[in-house]
Amino acid sequence: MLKAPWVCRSCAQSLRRVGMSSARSQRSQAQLFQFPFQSLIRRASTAAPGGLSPALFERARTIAAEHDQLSAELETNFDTKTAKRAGEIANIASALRALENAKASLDELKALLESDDAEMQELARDDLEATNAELVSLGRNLSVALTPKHPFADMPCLLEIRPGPGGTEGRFFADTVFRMYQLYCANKGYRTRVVKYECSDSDGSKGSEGEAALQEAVLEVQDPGAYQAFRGEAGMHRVQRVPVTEKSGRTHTSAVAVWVLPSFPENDGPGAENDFDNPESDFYIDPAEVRTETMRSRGAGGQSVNKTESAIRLTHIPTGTTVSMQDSRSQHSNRAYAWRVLRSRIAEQRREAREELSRSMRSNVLSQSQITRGDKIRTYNYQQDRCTDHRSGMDVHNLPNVLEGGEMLGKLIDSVQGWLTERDIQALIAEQEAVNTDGKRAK
Amino acid sequence: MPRLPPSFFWQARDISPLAASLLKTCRDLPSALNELRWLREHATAAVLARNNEKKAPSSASCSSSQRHNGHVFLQKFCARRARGEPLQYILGSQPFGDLDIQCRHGVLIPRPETEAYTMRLASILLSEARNQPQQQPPPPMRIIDVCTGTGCIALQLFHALQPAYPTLHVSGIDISPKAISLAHTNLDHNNLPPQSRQSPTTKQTQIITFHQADIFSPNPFPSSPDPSSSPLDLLISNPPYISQQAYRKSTARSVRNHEPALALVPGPHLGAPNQTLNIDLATPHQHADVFYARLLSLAADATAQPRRILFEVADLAQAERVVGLVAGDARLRRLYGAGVEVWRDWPDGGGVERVAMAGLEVAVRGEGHGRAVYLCRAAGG
Repeated sequence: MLKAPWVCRSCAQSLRRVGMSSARSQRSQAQLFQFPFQSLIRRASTAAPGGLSPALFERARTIAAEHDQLSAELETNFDTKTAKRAGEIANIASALRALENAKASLDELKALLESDDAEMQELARDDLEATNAELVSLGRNLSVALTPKHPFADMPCLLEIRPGPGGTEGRFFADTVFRMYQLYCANKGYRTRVVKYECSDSDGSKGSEGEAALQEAVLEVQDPGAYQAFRGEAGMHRVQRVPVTEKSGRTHTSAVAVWVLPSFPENDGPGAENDFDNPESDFYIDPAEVRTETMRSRGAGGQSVNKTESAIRLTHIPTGTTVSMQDSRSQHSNRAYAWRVLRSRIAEQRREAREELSRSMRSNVLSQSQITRGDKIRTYNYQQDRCTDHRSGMDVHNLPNVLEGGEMLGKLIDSVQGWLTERDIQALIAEQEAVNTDGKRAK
Repeated sequence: MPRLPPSFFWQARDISPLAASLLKTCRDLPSALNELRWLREHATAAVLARNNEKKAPSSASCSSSQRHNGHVFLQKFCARRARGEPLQYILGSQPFGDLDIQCRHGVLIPRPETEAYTMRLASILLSEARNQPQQQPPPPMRIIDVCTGTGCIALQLFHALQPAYPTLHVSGIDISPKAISLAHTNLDHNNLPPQSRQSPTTKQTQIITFHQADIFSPNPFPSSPDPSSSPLDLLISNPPYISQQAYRKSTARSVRNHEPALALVPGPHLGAPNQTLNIDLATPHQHADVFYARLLSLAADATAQPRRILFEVADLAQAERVVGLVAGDARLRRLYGAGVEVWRDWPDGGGVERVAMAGLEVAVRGEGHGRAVYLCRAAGG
């Protein structure tokens, strides 16, 4: 009955008391000892098919009804806006239809089981298991379809890598992490571009693997949808190893921060829907709010001097965000890259602020599972040849393969993707339930 | 030059002895470190290129000798830079807009200020093509770049305008054969086909050419490839504009010792009263402005009369003198008097001031030193 391996006596007693009181609390007791996403399946199995929460099922029904209505409307008179909305919710409607079909066939099978024909019963029993499994997977498809898409999901992304406090060791590892993502992208066939790669001034010092003391690096992954693929990578990456500089062989722990920012695709020109010149866009920045600082040549300038300084620093005055760029010999391209990074940072800040707001309005499951900027998300342990993701709880060995961006890193990233999806579904259920109770209260 | 404090050298030496040697030319630590990084990248690339040529048999022995060679290269590069040789001559290139421009001794290195006004001009011409009424193709565009040097302005404009103007003729003129050969190299280097997208039905051609010519000779401009097409749309020039005195006094030592004076200072023989130079402007001018006077007199000629003119100038005082040349000539005043602008070093930032210069109202744009005079012919004029 209990999923937990061991429960102390007093707890077990209190649980038994609760368990006897009512069937409703029995369910909550079961929940107490399960992972949240398993509870979702268990709880739902009583009410809706396919391990779906009744709240979600209701929502799917409403949306499917809307879809039917919209398609009927489209047949009579075509309208781009209606067509777009219908297209967006079409996958929800089709997922629901598939689920309902499976449910119908399940009911048929159940009816067959009660028939007198022994052969038919046998056949039905064989099919029952497969149909049940199908139902669960279809239910999951529906909940994935129901989760709202991340607003930046289709965009390319910028990976920003910066060492945490902790001196050279953290900087060396920051370089390792940078190379890890670079190689991972190469293995996966993503197109990348190094936007910024700045090492600290202390020239010459190299890590054991020849890594440089990185201060800040920005890697752009140019494929659309890269933001979705990498968004689980944001957070603190912790390393535990014996640094090259360590004389007495003690293990040090240092951290590297990785931020994933949406990168704006190359501007399609005015009139395009996502145009960063559109003040409604998250990426819009009023040029008047940005202070530009460059190295200005003293003296005459023009033909009579030949300065090579191309560094540029942009400061977004309202938020205090600064971006400095000095990699290229051309100030023009430094400026273009700096604007790109600034836009991405501001857009991410705006989205975070919005999410924060919606979270504070509904304090729910979301706030507990939220990973904030300071939380460590992954540990790379050199002595144990192990890499652990703290959110999905996945543990992989063969650390060199992870650091080469091999299939082990791919496994970790996939596990985080799964975790993110589960979290989104849960948030959706919580939200829908809140809406339902609000609705009931209003009645 | 003021003496550098010894602490600069101590700091640089802590990081790398090479950085300390670069400090003599760079004059501050961040730029010395940046240049060291670019030189190191160049040295690594040079070693790789040489090894590829030699096809070293064993890779193990190669990597140690490679590092050694890389360091030898780097030391040589740093020694050259420490003697004041421009970084772009050592690296062999300078980014300009979206292009990578090759640089060689004997040809002026493209400057960032030149890049800034070229980019602004390109965006003006692009927005003009976009604002054409629907279903009407953009008009043909003919551009002449005088004193083209590396060809950077002509190439960048050609590259930027290619998508918007189906008919595009750009020609670059320079007196130096070295410059013309380098401009052709740059044309190949940046993969800009000399003639692209030629369709026989619509007569749409995009051509860029470079000619050696002396603009003080009669009829220096190349004739339009298509006589029926429009007259000149843009005359742009970054001519020699430093006066003899300023060249001796305020020009950087690295520029004086390594870059060609031909591209910087108008020769003393030009504009002398005993020569017939076809300069028939009414206003007297200083010797440093002789190129502007010559170009303006060519522009005033009935066959040219470009719709737009842009000249790079040394400072606001010279800009005012060029505006004075325009205001002093009746024809030029009538053509361009209403559309005179002066652009500073960074014309996109800062605001616009309205200033009276030589009796004309002039818009001064951007921030920095006065860098360019931009003349626009009145619509219909």
